[in-house]
Amino acid sequence: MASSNRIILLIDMNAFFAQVEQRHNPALQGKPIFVVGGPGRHAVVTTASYEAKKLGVKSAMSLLQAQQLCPQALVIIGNPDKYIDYCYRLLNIYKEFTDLVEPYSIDEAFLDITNVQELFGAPKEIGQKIKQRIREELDLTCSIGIGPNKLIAKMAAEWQKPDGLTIVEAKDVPQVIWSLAVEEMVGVGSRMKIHLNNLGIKTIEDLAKYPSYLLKAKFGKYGEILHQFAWGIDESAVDPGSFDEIKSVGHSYTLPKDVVDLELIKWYIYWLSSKVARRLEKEGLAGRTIRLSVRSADFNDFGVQTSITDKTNYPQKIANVAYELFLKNYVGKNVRLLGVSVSNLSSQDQFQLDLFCDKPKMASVLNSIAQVKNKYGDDIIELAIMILKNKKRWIRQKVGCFLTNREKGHAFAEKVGARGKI
Amino acid sequence: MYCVIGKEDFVGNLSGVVNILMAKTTYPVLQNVLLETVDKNLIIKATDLDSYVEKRIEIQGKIKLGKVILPGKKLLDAVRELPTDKLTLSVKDNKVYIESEGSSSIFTSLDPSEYPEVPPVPKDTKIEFPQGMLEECFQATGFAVSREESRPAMCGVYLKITKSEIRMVATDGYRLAFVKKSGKFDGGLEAIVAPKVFNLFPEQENKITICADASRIGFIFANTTIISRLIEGPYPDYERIIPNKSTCQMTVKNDMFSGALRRAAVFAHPVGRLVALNLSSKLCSVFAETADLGQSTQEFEAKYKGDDLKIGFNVSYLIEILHAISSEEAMMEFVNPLAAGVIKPALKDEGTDRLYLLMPIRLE
Repeated sequence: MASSNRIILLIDMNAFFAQVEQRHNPALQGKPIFVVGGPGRHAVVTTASYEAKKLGVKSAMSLLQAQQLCPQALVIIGNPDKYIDYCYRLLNIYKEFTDLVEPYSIDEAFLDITNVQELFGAPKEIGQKIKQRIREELDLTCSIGIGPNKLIAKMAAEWQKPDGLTIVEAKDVPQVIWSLAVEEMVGVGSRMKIHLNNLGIKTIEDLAKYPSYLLKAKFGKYGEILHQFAWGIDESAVDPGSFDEIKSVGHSYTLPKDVVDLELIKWYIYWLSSKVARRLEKEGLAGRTIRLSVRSADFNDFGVQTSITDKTNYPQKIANVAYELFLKNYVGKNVRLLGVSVSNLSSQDQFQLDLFCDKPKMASVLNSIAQVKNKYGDDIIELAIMILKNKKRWIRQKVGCFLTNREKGHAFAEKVGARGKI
Repeated sequence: MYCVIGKEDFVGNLSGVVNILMAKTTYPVLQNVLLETVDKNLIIKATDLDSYVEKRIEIQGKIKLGKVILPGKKLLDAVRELPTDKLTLSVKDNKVYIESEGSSSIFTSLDPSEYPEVPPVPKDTKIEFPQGMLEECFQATGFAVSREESRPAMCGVYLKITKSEIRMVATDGYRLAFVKKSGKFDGGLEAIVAPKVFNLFPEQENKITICADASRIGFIFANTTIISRLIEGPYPDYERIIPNKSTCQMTVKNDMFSGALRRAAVFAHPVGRLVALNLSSKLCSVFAETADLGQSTQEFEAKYKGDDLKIGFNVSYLIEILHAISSEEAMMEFVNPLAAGVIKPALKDEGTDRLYLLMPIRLE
């Protein structure tokens, strides 16, 4: 599909989670709001509404920082299921225009509209029609970028927010992006920006004119890709398959308090691994590559992964491997965020049997556990390491919050009991 | 430090030790080898802190005592291509000179006192072995060792020596290799040994002495000493899982079966490497399929006794086992599609038992 006269469209929902929340609760309309991942001191703003963005609040800012900029904002704990539902409804709209739809993230999707212009009109008209459908059916706004490839479409969508529609024609590429700062380019994050600036590369034009072989020598294959991007070249096709196929399953968690205690870190790794295992099991998948991501309090990130001989979706196995990875690579700093993911996935229908572990029996035990969880909720059965005596109280003392309603009930009963004794 | 050594001798001994060095380590000294002149010998030492290897080369002529440490792999690269028969090793002002006719390389040496000490040779047990016996056992089993650190005991080979036999076992949980040889030995031993150690064995040695205590094992050759930390057990109870009866048996020519497997393997999925054996007294075949590539059925001649059976295996594991069996005919025994298959040579060598177990892949 990679031809020079493609027309690619990127739809980016503006402040998606905040818009959805505002639409669900009219009292929030027109007000600054923050959608956050969860409670706790280290809560991060996943999305700020446009009213808050005007005051300088950005996504991924810490809640404390955001509240300093915009103290009047209402804080709402996000509801992922709701956003996923909206995401599906949006995708269904897109699919009425073309079957070449590639979801890029929960609030962004690429559409290849090269061959549907006879049906729906010129690119601009298609963009307007999609915007209109989204407004009428879901009462949401979006920004659309249209260009000759995914890279240009994605960058163009950024230029007019909220509720924009930007078209870049092939003849204007690459000059139209050259005056931009290099960090405005897709693929250049804050660290890459520093590296490039150190080489004297400030704009995308600087990057385009920098020798490709030097970039390759410094950054490997990625350097070459960046160089091509700077020339506006991106041959990648809109891949509708990436929607159906799950490539990895992961969970990460920003700890309510920075942690150095190994026992506690181990607990969190088991907790995350159980969540990952549960999702793998729901999808009927198992994976061979296990990855652990760690962010320390000084924002030093590391991610390490290893592949095991045989695929797994056992929580203990995932956790054991992830914890081993942690022990091998940890240098004793305060841990702020932990993430566990499993990739290299395949269906769990066929599996290599083990000489020392009765896997069919284990599978039937896990299946029974899954059925109980399906009926009574995920926290009804946990790995023993998760529910050791007083474990949660111990965690609460060490890191604050993190209690389920059931435990809040116990804690309350304990307090009442204590008062009774007095 | 000063000595003149034969190049081939030096390169041979050096390449025998550098495999132990770690490519990546937080302790840079471990990428180095230690060279030391003692009496009339040049000694080369290398370690990864779990295992230690020491080689002695006899020096003819003038010798000055001293020691240096040099990056092992770089040193080997620097001397391997030398066109001369002899080379001179000398130290001046903290620089190590490696010189031969028309060639001079100068290395900067780190402080040799930083190099880890080789632990003493363990003394509790001492057993003598004829040449080649341990190597042969390792050849037959070593490939089945686990590479997953989450099962540490399985990352080693299990070695058991009694007065009348030696056993070696390796397993990664999916396959198991077992070899037993009878003989007369002057001591007993039970240990889990890092497989790396066997790759350090020198070629063509007459005999070997094994020494061991509770935490270490040593292999002593004429000019080579290897000392390795034992891997902590317990080793899995392998005897329990060896099936003592079977319901189906197949005898097959090793090369014919391996050929059919290799042809089918082209179509086996790269992740699970699954092939299905379809076995009956009339026809035996192997089938493999990958959705976006295609499929392959390969028939092979075999003597099969028992009910019809369809059983899945990782084809790479199966081929490795057939290779390790090194006999013209192989015998396979099965119980059902979910139980371990037993593979052994159809004809037993005098005094040697070889047996392999392979767990199937559960088919849908």
